[in-house]
Amino acid sequence: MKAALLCLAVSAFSGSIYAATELTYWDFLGGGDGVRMKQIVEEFNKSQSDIHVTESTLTWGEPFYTKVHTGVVSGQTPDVMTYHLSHFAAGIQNKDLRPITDEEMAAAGLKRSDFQDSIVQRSSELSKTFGQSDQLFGVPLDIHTLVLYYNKTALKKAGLLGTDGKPTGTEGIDAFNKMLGEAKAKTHLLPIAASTNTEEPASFWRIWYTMFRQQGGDFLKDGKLTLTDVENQGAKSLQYMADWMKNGYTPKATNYPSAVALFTAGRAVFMINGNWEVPTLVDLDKNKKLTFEYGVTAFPKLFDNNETWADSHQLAIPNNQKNPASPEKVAAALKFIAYVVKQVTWAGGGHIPAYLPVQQSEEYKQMVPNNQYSAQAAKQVSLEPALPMFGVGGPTFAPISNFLVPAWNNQIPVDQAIKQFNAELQKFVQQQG
Amino acid sequence: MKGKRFSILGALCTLLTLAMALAWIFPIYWITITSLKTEDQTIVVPPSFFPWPPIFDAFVYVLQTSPFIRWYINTIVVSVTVTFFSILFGLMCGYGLSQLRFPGRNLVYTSILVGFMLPFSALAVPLFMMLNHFKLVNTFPGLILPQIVVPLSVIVFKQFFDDVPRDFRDAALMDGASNWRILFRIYLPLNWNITWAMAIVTFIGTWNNFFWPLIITNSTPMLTIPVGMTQIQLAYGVQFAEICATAVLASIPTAATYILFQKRVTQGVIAVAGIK
Amino acid sequence: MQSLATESAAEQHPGQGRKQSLRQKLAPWLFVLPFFALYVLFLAYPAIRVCYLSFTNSDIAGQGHFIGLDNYVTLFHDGDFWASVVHTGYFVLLTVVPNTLMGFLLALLVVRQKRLRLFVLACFFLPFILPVSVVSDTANWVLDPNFGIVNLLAGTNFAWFQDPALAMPAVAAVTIWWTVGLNMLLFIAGLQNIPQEYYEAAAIDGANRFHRFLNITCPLIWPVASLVLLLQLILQFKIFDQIYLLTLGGPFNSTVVVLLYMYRQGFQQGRGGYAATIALMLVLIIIVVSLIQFRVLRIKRASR
Repeated sequence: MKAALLCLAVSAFSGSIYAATELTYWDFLGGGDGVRMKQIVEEFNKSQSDIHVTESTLTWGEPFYTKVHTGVVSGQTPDVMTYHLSHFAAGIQNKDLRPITDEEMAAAGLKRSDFQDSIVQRSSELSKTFGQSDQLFGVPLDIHTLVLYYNKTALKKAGLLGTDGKPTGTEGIDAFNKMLGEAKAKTHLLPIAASTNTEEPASFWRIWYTMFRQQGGDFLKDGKLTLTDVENQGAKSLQYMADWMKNGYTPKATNYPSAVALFTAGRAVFMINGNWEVPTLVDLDKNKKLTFEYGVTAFPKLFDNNETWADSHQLAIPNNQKNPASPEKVAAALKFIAYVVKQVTWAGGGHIPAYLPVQQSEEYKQMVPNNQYSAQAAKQVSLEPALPMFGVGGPTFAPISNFLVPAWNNQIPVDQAIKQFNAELQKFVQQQG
Repeated sequence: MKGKRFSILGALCTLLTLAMALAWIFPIYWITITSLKTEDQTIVVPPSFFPWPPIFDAFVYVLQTSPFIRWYINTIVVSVTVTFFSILFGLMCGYGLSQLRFPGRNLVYTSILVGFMLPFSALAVPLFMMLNHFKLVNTFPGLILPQIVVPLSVIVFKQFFDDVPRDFRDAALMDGASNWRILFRIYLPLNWNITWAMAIVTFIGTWNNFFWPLIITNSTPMLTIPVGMTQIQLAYGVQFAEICATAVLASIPTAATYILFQKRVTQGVIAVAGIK
Repeated sequence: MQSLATESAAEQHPGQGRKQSLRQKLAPWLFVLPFFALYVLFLAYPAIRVCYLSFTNSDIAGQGHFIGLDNYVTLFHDGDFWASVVHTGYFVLLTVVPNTLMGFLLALLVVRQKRLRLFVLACFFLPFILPVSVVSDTANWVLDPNFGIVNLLAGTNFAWFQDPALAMPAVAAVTIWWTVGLNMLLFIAGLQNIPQEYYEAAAIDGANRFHRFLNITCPLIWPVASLVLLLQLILQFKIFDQIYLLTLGGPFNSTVVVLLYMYRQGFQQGRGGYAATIALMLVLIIIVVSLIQFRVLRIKRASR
């Protein structure tokens, strides 16, 4: 016993002597994503002895980006961090991100063409527009997007399950609404579980933005904010969603865990949510806790095209102005980044790997239920508008939460909500010059 | 006849009191039993009011996946340090103001009385700037120092010391005792009850403080329990049992303090509020 | 009297020179200084600083320059600020008097009890010692629209904190549940201070329960009641924690209170100078309202 303790003490001691480079790593990953990332970090630390990574998890969203920004200003940053592609515009503009040169990437064995093209392309556009730079400001880890979860057992009972094991009414909004109505009448279940309260504006935004994009709506014309589409396609999309609520197709003011619980408890036919809930269902199914058979499919084509909201987790290096990162730290950070993006473990969170060799690997293609949606979902990616006000942690979520979500809940009229939403966005444009 | 009617009224009153008390405590009971269910039991309709056997999965999960232990240690360090120094300095300052004469005494006391009226939260902006300037944001000194300043404890101790009969002090001075000795050997033991009560109330108050830790901390390892528990992520799956387990874990220290020292807490609370 | 005592102590050691007496003069400061130094540093100085900041365009790190009355002009025209004042006032209205009355009622019920006393007292008081985050988690779980026990038992699906009409009253109700124990304790202390003989004498004079309550309990508890009201008023104006945790100011900003607005401007948007102006206005409002209340309650007491 004593000997064992001594051994442990010695190994802990020697560990700290030989770990040449200490990296601090900030992320915003909770739940299963957090567990998987911790596992990846541990494995990385065990796989070599030159670099030791210490991970710290902060609150997702605006708090995370506020902490990063204060860190950059005060000179207390991590060495590497997770970042949303949708926050790049703001992050680059605020000089929170340090460019990663192609040479630095190459030294870690990475090149741009290894990654999903649509993601890299957007990333480099943002570099040019907001950082006047040809470099990337982050290395893509994944794509995450909206998917449609469905209760096969309930659909089969209602006669709404096709022979391919997928729901029948997914072509066009009218067919979709008809299917929801029938599902409700025949199963007496809630047609769609979704998070509908104001604390979760992101859930609303993902669905609404998808419908808006599928009708050809866009916030940007020639790189400038334009709100005419919001008044047309935007108002139409919101009206469809408000009607869902009026018809009892979606639950009123429901918070995130309740929305998931409604689906997992078998009280809802569908759930519209991000692919990150895949592991929840996989685990419940494995432990025989689900009372029904479930399926996952890429978000349906409800309008003219099948574009679907998506974002990408990136790994980035903060632009510490007071204590700039040494070349050794940058090299170590990139070595760590290169390790992380190559792990198929991460796809266990339902995310689509951005690193193409992983995305095309047999191991990934065999993953269930990821293989039910990922190939199609990767093709219909529609990223957030390329302006600093949008994206995770952006100020746009305040008016979304204040006006659009209440309109969804039938608390204020759609046209009024759209008008006020647009007025708030105009204010942001004025503030940002 | 009359007596009997009264006792029926009395019984009804007791029944009403008991019903209200149970209703009042019910939410606490409810989160406690929810924390002892599995996640899928929490969403069963109708829910079980007496889940048996209790399941501790949620507690295990919270303790394993969040830095709860670290937050516990932080909160204990902060609460104990704040309580110790605010009581010690409060006793000293209260004694000085009550028993000693020196130039500037009235000025000091008046300014402390004014300070008592100032809402701490209104000073958050300059306080943050100052601590930021001294690089104390996200540190223990940053968390602790501003919380030690409790004008109320000075005021309470001064008033209690004012009530101590003069003879005690005069006799001690005759014997050549120093003021330090008089404070810690005579005045403190004479006011042991109120000191304890103040210490317990300060401890609970510091443990529960939400606003200041929210502002002055910015990294997960430095959070205290009340702030940390709100950062446990909800964006994945069903987590009702876990949320309830978090709440139960966060309440144990203060709830235990209250149940152990019920009388003292009551006394302290009345002293704190009733002083004006 | 006291100064005499100190002097007599000094006379105990005659002939030790002026040095000693100077030391003796400064010695009291050793008692006062530890607290007072911290007080000046962390309370007095920030209080002065907040006034100065309100005349600057400082960011949250304190970098900025003097801009005169600009912040006050902006604030005066800032509809969001005035809305937050109105919301705070609404919350004060929903809590101060109800919380005081509820405390009084519970105190009346509890003092009657003998064997059950400690138990019921603990039931009513226990919520008060919980951290606010536990209170909000509890409220969110008990009142959840889909799975909350209240809605399940009532067969409803109210989203209490998400409905513009219900949000503020719901936060107020949670606040009362959380803090009424304190008021109850103060009233119990007050009730116990009323001499039992008054009731006995009145009973002999033939006054019934109701009359005794009206003519003895009410006037004699009034000093406590006015104290509780004042404490409540000052406390509830500072509402932040429950709002931050339960509604975050929503739905459509209908529950943004002054301190939340200050927090957003200062710590989220980095406008330190403007946030200081907001804080200063809150202090001003609290002072004015408590002075008014103090006056009103005093006059009432005097007229009795």
